[in-house]
Amino acid sequence: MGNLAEYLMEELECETVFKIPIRIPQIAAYADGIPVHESIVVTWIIMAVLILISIILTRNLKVDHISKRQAVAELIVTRLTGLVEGMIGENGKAYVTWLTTVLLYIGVANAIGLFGMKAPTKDLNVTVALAVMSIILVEAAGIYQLGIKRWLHKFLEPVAVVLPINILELVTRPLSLCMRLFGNVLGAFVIMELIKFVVPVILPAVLCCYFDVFDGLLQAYVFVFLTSMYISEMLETEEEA
Amino acid sequence: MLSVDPFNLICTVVNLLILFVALRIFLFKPVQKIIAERQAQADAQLKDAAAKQQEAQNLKEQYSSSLAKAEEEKRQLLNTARKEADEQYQKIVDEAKAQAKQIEERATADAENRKNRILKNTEKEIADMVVAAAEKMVGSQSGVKIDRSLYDEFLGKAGEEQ
Repeated sequence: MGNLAEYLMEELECETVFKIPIRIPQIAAYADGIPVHESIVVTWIIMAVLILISIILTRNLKVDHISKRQAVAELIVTRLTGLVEGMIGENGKAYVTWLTTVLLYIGVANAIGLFGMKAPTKDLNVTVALAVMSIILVEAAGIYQLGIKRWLHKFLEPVAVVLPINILELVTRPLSLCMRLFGNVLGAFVIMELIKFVVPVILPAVLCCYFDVFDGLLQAYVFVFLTSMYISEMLETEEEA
Repeated sequence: MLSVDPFNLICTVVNLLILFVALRIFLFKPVQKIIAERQAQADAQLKDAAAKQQEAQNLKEQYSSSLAKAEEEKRQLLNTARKEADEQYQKIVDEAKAQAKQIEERATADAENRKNRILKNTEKEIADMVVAAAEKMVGSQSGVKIDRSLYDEFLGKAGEEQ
């Protein structure tokens, strides 16, 4: 059993792929050069693949007599943006592209285990970054749409007593976003490793479909859904006022 | 595992922003542009079709109205023609009647004249005959009796004729 625990810990550890040879002796972690995690490298691969596919799919677009490639590109774009637009509503059209990008990225990142790479979302740094950007987007949308005064006033709504809770939400919302994604992916990973350890054939293939594909895409959806919900919540008050 | 490394965190943020911009440039913008173009084209075609239909409708109305006008004109023309024809007919008949009357009158007058002439001629002939007969009678037998009866007869005849 000690063997399994060691193995698991090893798998869970974020590997450092390489180190940028800039030594910063003042910071202990960077004393030996800046480490670049596996998640960053996998993210680069995902980015490269996504961008390459987009470029290939959107080569010489036409208005009519479209090619199959273009049909696929249009299908993907209209479906995904339609999905996000359905969640965020008419007011948040400006944020649809960003949310669709996040949806694509998390979806691909969660499912990349299928290709034998470690999902970047298993690295806390990535989910923290995603969550921080989400909450910044939510608050920025609030400031942009409502103006600073009304945005600040929103912390006192619906009654002034909830001010501490509203301020707390600034932290808890991204924290829950980040930990939900991280925990799900990590949990799925741990369970998959355990199953692989116990039953090495057939069963992992079946469960992999559930954990990597279904749960991964579901988590991507949930992340984007919650972010767009926060944004539309922010924008909704503007209409009521 | 649960450690947060600032450099990797910032790296992820930068990666995401780059991915966002790149997908926006290479995927969302072109596809949305092409869809918008198609929408615009379809809208233009629909508008065009509607305009054409309206035009056709207008033409149809114009045609039907001009057709009705032509029908009306035809009827009017027919009416006036019929009226004129009637008048013409009436005039011709009247003229013919007048002419016939004239001819009749002339014929009557002619006949009267001829009758008068014939009568005059006959009278003259009779008078001649009488004179001739009288001469004969005077030549063969004379006497007061005969003279007397002759004159009487003559006078009587003349009186009858008068």
